[in-house]
Amino acid sequence: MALVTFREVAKALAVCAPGHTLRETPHRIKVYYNGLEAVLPNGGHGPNEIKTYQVRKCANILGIFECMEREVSGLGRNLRK
Amino acid sequence: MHRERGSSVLTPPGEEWPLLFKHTFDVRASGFEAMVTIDGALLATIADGHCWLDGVYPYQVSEGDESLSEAYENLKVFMAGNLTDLAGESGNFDEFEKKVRFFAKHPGDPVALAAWEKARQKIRDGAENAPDIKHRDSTGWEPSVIAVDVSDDRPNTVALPAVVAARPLRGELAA
Repeated sequence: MALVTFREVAKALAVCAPGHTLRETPHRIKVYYNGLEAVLPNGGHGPNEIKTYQVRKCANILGIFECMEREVSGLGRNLRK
Repeated sequence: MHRERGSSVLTPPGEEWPLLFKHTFDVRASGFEAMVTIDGALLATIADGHCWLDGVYPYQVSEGDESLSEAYENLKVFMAGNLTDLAGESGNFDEFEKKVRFFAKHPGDPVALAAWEKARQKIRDGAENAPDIKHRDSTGWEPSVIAVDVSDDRPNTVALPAVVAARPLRGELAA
């Protein structure tokens, strides 16, 4: 099970979802972009680490998968391409 | 309609299977306590050597583990976290209920929804390698959520943390 750091995801979001906003809640990091809302887990898998599948989910919801795939190492392929 | 099929579970890797589930959560917030029952849909697959569950309804959730049952347990914890956050963001039960309805019923991941419909059609067409999970006729099925304010039913004089998942229910294969 591959993990990526939130720092890497945040850098990718800056490229792939310009103008997005983040809001941290006790359990989630909410990502808002183009009127859409996705969530990432807030902790639980080591310091600032997120399962790649959950990053893929976020990218699919926000419609930025192709860009995130380029920006996040180890994100893996989109099974639904 | 219920019928049993015998086959290996969730193979081959990358193949997606449509699941239906129903689960009730007890949600406790500082101002109210609620029971939330979600009748939702998931996509299950083997990817990266793990079983993954991808939320269709609710669309924002995804979790994985080494087996389907473990992934489902993780997903329920994930959903409980979302519900806890929604409760914390709500000033009262009515506001919470509105947020929960959106959370559970909004088709916010069109990619997952299309894949779920495609996977369901595959089951209806008689997929040979369908996993060994009870089948459920999903004709006319729609996601639903029932949120009940139970604040008056139980003493709740202090702010209680977290959500406690209860009443285990297993998933069924949508057919």
